[in-house]
Parts: sequence; structure tokens; C-alpha cells
Amino acid sequence: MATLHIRNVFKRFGQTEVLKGITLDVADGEFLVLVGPSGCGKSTLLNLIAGLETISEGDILIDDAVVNDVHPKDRDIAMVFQSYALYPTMTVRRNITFGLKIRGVPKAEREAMVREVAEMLQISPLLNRKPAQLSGGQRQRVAMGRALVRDPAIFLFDEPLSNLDAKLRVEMRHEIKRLHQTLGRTVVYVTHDQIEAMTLATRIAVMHQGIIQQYGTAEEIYNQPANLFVAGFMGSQPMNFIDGTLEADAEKFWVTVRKGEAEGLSIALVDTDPAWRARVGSAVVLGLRPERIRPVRDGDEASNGVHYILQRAVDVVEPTGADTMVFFSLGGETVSARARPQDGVVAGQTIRLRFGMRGACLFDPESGQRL
Amino acid sequence: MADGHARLPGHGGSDLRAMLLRAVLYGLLGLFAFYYLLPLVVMISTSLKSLDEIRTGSLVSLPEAVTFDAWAKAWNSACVGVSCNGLKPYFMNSLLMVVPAVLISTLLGAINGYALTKWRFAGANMIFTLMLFGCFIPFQVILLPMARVLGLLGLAGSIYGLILVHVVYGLAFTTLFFRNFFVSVPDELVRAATIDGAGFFRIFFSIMLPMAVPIIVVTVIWQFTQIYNDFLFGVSFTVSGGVPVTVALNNLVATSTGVKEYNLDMAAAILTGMPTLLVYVVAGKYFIRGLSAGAVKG
Repeated sequence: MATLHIRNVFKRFGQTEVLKGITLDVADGEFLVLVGPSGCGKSTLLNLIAGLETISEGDILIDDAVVNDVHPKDRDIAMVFQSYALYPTMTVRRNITFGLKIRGVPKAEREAMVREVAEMLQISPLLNRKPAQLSGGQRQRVAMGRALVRDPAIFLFDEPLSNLDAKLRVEMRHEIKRLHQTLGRTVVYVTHDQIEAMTLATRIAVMHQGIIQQYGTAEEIYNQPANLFVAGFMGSQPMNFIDGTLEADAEKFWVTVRKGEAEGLSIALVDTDPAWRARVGSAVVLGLRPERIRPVRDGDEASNGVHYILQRAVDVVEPTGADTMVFFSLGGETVSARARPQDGVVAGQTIRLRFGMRGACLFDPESGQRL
Repeated sequence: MADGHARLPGHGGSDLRAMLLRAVLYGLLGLFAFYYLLPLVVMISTSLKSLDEIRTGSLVSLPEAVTFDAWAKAWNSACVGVSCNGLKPYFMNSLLMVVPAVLISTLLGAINGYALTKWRFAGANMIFTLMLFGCFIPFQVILLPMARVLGLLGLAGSIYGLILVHVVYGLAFTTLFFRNFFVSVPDELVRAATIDGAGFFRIFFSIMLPMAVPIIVVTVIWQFTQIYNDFLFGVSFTVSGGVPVTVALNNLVATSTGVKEYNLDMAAAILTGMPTLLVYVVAGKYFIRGLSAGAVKG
């Protein structure tokens, strides 16, 4: 049982401010993923939680007790590192039991615990080997074993999969998720890979320039990004951003796109907000996920206001197997759409595209905030 | 290598030239080897001759009747100063000095290197730079101040004093070696061990030291050679009975009374040089390997 609260935490290295007032609340058993580009401060935040760095300002609470000055070993945490950080001269068994030995766990008990963890991670045959004799995936498992055997209140992961090849990474991702579901422990996981974040997290904190940009479930962050940064960072094919002007009449709102267009396009908005009234006439950025745009197919109902139909020439086609990404230009930008392979779209062809306007986002181009 | 060279495409017709080059190369190497080995050969052959033979024969001629008398005398009964017990007791002095001095300076250097790289503190680089200066201070400069310090500590003229001098002087080198080794060890190991609950010394002894075996070998060989071969500190800071073997050798050879016993001098000199030679023969391989391992990683 462990909750984690981070209250207005700052971290400075000399003049540089790496974390600028981080506040996060993590409930017991949650899987929090800190995600962001390199240099956003996510690893620093993890090190603060671990106690490997000191906090410049603010508080970190584990189970409602302030741990700012508590030594890492007394925080009831275990950490898995990007480089695995296995002790090179020790066997796998000694690597896993090192922490237990220091804590004075009797030998027989240690042996039983190693066996259990090794079983769980399928590394039993490797117990007498040295780290140098293991493959990357096996080292990763040992590193996890070292954390698991301690049975801590909070698990900390620092980009644990980034040194693995693509296939192993997916396997280990499943494994980590399965372990979390089985053990139900609180996890804080740092990654720069937004897919890892989406697949693993119960809640995601998107970080950029030392600030939490958005904190929410994968679904919230994907569908209601707080700002342009989050919208652009999350999603394997980033959200399309189209510059335009917000316009309205008595009941409807639409975005007029003039940049890069011979004649202005008026794209009607569906999920509207009365507060937008104040913004009518000003510049906005329309955000649309690629999967919201697809070629018009036979049997599609006529446009009923929920869809916007546009005829365009296709610039580039990228088949990915399951989907085919179709690129065309709109509002002076390259915009991507997700088609099926059987749509048979080829480059150069002029096709009719159907924009699903449910879930479209509007952003303020100045502040980047979603409207 | 010769084969690989000959097989290179486009070099088909130059086998003869390659062989000729080889011959010149080996010839030159042989010549230099001979040049460097000659003194040793003369020393060994002279030490195995009797005094009569030395007087009548030439310097480079091999001994007609091999005798180990000079070796036995050098070890057991040659006169160093007034006592005539050979070099044996002075070997003991050297050993009593070298072993603790090497172990202490190596251990302290290892701790220094570890602390300077893995527990960075404000001014760590400054301290390291200052320690490096120690590598460049000539022995002669510190003789007088060191004599004063040893006097104040009550260690003047004792083996302990000599050990202290060598430890202090060796620290600059041992710290340099270990610092350069540990700087290539990832910091995440220390972080992982910290979370596992290990402290400064536990991490040092359980994780860092076992990793550092190659550099320990390098440091031990280096320190052993330096300290064992030292003459100046030995002659300056010890008194007659307690001098190390290098000083004793000098006293033995420099005796001005009686006939000059060249065979004895040669045997004593070889005996004195034996431990360092032995260390190189036994551990030289690791020395080269350790040095280059550090170079690649550092």
C-alpha cells in the first residue's frame, strides 16, 4: 500500500531550473508514466522520488509522510535503471540478493525469495551466470528481479526498455504490465516513448521544460490534450494542426482556412463551446487526429454536419500494413489521413476525404492552450 | 603477419621484398636485444667466475669453472659496512617496507579514485588536480621537510617512517590510476547499490574493488617497482641496520678496503634486482593488459 504525493517541487542545478513546480498525486496501485522529450526533467523527478538527488524546494510524500530527507534505502522503493546497472562481478543470484543481504534477511529466506522471483521472470537457469554472459533481454529481467525481490511499496523505472530491440521491447512491455496487474503495486515509470506511456499507464504526466503539461489517463491525454505540445507529442502519427480563423453565426461555429488555399475553406465544428463566442474572428489552430480523416467510401451516409468532405490530390502514400497513411496539403501544411489498404489510394490521385469532426480540438495559437 | 601481408592482393610479385624487409627487421631487433642484454650476460658470467679467473681472463669471456661461491657470499656473509651477514637481512628490511607501503598506498589510492569519481563533492576536480602535482615533485625537493616531519612524528630512522614517505609519495600515482579507471564505471551502479541499501564502503568493497582487478595489478606492480627500487629515501631516512637492500648493495659495492670482488658485486646486484624482474616476468602480461584496458575505456 503506497500513495505518492509530489507538492510543488523545484529542482535547480546552479542557475538552471530543471523542475519548475511539479505537483502530482498518485493513488495506491497506480501506474504513473512520466513522459516527455529528453531534457524535460522526467528522470530528475524520478531521482528525486528515489532520493538520489536532493529537492531544492517543495515536498515529496510517500504514504503521507514527507520523505525529503529520508535516505533512499529507507524509502521502501526499488528502481530499475536504463543501463540495468547490474553488479558486473556478481552472479545473477548475488545481484538479486545483494539488497536483501544488506538488510539482514537470513540466507534460507533469501534463497526462497530468489527462487520465487526467478520463476516469475523465467530466469531460473541463469542464476549462476555473470551479467556479461546474459543477453540484453535477460539483463533486463535480472534488473527487474532485483527490484521485485525487495517487494517495495513503490517501483521506479527509468527508461527500462530503451536499450532493447523493438521486438523485445514489446515483449517486456507486456511483461511489465502483467506484473503490475498481478502485484498491484504503485509504479512510477519514465519513458520518452509515447506508445509505452499509452500502453502501460493508468495515468500519464506529460512533461516539457520542467513543467507538467498535462496529467490524466491515456484516454484524456489522447482525446483532450491540454495544449499543442501534448497534442503533438502523443500519438505515433502526430495530430494534424491547421491554421485558420474562428467564425460563427447565431448557432454554428466554423474554422475558415485561407492560408495556402485558393478559395477559403469553411470547416464546421461539431462539439462546440459557448465560451468560444468571445474568440470569434481571431486566429485558431484546428487539431485533428489522422484517424479522424479517411477517404470517402461507398455506403458512407451523406454529410450530416458531423463530417466535412474535401476533395484533394494525394501527395504521398505510406503503407504500414494494417493502415495506409495518406498525405495531402491543407492550409499550407502537410496533413495526414489514415486509410485502409483496400481503399487503394495511390499518390497523385485526387480523392474525396471525409473529416470526422467529433473530437476535433481548437487551440489558441499564442498560448498553445486548448480552447 | 608475414603471411597476411604476402597474401594481400596486388602484392603478388613482392614476396621476396617482404622477406627481405622481415630479415632486416629481425636483424635490427636482434641487434638491439643483444645490445641491451650484453651487460646482464657479463654480470651473470662474471658472478659465476672465481676471483682468479676474473683477474686473468677477459671481461666478456665465459667462466671456465662455474662457481656459486660469490652468490652464497653475497647472500650470507658479505660485509656491508661493519656487519658481515650478506644482503639477507637487508632483503628483509626491503620486504617489511615494500609490502605495507604498496598495500596501503594502493588501497588509499583506490578509495581516493572511487570517492573522486563516484561521490563527487564541490572541489573534487581541484583536489585531483592538486594531487596530480605530486607526480611531478622531484624526490630531492622534499628530503629536508620530510626529515623534519618524520622527526616530529618520532619516526625518523625507522622502517615505519620510510613506509609513510612511500605511501604519501605513491598516493599521487595510485589515485591517478584508480581515478581514471573508476571514471569509466557507470554511476548508475552506485545509484542502484544506494537504493539496495549499501553505503560508501560497502559499495567500494563489494562492487567497485572486485571490478578494479586489472588496475589493482597495474598499481601494485608500479608501486612495488618504485618503492623497491628507491635509493634516495632509503639512504636518507634510515640508519645503518635498517637500510633497504638497495642502500645495502651500494654500501657493499662501495667498500674501499681489500681487493675489489667483482664476482661478489655482480651477484649482489643481480640478487637485488631479482624481485622486480620476477614481478615483471610473472605479472607483466597483466600490467600491459591493465594499462591498455584503462586506455581504451578512459
